[in-house]
Amino acid sequence: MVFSMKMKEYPVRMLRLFYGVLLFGLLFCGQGHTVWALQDGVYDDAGLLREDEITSLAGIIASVEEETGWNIFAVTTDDAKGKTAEAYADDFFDSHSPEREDGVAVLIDMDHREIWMSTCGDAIRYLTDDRIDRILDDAFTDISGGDYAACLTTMVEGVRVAYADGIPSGQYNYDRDTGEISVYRRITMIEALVAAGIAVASGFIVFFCIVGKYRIKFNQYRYNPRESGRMTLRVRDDQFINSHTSHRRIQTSSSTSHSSSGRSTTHRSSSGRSHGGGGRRF
Amino acid sequence: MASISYKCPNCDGELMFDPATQKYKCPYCASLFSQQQIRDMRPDTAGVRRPDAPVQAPGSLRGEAWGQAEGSAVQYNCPSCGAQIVTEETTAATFCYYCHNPVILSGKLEGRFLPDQVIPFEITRENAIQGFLKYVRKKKFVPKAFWNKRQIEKISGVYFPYWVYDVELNGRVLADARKTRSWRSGNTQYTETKIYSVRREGDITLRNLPENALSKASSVLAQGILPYRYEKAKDFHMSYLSGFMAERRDIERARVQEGMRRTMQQSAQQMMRETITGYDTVNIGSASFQPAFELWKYVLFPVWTITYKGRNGKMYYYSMNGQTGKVIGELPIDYKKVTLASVLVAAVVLALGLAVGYIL
Repeated sequence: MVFSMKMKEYPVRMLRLFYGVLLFGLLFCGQGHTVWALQDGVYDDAGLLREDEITSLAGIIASVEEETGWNIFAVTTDDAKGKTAEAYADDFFDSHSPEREDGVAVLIDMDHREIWMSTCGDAIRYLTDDRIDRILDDAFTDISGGDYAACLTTMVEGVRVAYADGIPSGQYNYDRDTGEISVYRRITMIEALVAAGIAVASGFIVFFCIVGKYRIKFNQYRYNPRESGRMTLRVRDDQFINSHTSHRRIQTSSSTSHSSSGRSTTHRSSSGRSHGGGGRRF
Repeated sequence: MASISYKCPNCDGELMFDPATQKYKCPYCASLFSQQQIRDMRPDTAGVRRPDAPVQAPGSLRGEAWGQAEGSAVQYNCPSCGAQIVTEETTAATFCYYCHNPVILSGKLEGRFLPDQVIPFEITRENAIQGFLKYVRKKKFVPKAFWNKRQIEKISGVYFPYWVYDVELNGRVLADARKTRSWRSGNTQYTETKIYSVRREGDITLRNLPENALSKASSVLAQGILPYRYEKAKDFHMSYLSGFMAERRDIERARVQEGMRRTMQQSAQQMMRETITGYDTVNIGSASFQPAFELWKYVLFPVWTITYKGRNGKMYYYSMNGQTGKVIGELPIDYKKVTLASVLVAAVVLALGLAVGYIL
């Protein structure tokens, strides 16, 4: 068992050394901002992954990072240092992504036997509680079968899908500590087109009204009977004929102003950053 | 037929109606005379005759011609200087081309052409010019360098002929009216509709519907200066025309009466409809209005006509209500300004629309 663990750790260490040299070189070339994008993003501290699995996962993370512009970390640990899985994932992200706030850390915590997704920055908006639950459902199936690499891959791919789906309509962040709600506001393409259509129509109406007025198109005199008329009613008769009543069933809907489907529950990590996320014990 | 002018008993100058004082003023000795004093005077007269040879009137006449003078111009003698002047068929008051004294062609407004009423001018020439310039300067989309007092080519006070119609109607309206009430019980929405049969009968008196009675007048301008305050109308007297030009009608009642009757019936129906209140919907089933009494009046309305030469050389024509000061006429347009305003409005609407989309 110890032997196999060492066999697994060796290539990882070599890979880390390679990336360390690369990082050093890039820093000296003044390309510091690309450092994180070039990291593999896989931190298999628990030694759960094979070399090919790490390579594959690193490739997926790189492509998701490129698509989203976020930092993505896949982490395993067998020692959470006394922290909860949530705190460990949050702190890992904060310490490994000090400059960029947007991103996700997915964690397999063998210490608590728990999987966790920690979201930060823009990723909180995309990865709502519902979406995280769905991703974790799939990831849980993988990890229940002992396939750690598939579990991490499922979570990272889930991030890609959530990003591709965009921020859901009615999304809002709910701070579970303070109860504060931050509604995501945006202008959709349809709203922008409708506003542009109304604006163009308004412009044309103003244009033609002014031109029409100056060309005396709207100055027709209308006789006003209220000013020049008098009426004496001889018969004023209102007879009730009949009545009928119709009814219809009202579709009930949640009366809350914010539906739970768009909710991203957030909390503060030890660094003070706001994080979303969720986990599942296995 | 004769031309007349009213002479000042003090200096023999020609008296003119003064809109500011509503009296008659002598421009030479500044004497003022009331309407009653004028009625007691005998105006100076001079003969008017049809020229032996046909004379082409300035501007061709359109529409119905009047009486024996059909299709020809009329020559008259100025009661002040005796000069022979030719006028259009419909001209009833003017100025002598030579001595510039006011002349009233009384024969043009006699018999069936005698107006029933006249609304005297209340706005003086000076006030008309000021009012006109104020009106055009208020217009934001006129080229800035367009307006200049010196560009006013001609301003004339003219009495224009109108038909004015009063009517008493016996009317009846039958309608179907509905009231709806809606309430909710549990998950069910109930809507109750009550249907009523509504009947209204009564007498409606409508007064003072005007209609242009001069075919050569622009219908847009003639309608655009309306309305007038009819309570200031006076029984017609020739003297009111002194100092102004006047036109006689050439559109007879038969040509306009059906349209005017229809307008009054629609107005009566509107008044009766407004008494059907308290319902959510009202559908008029039938409506009938029979005239019990009609009064057609031939009235002269005061109008300042203004000819303005634009800096682009184009002539613009304006009319001003000689009683209320309302101005009507086509205005030149600075399209750059209009486009800018339209774009600004569109931008504001777009910003508001986007803000609403962002908030919702």
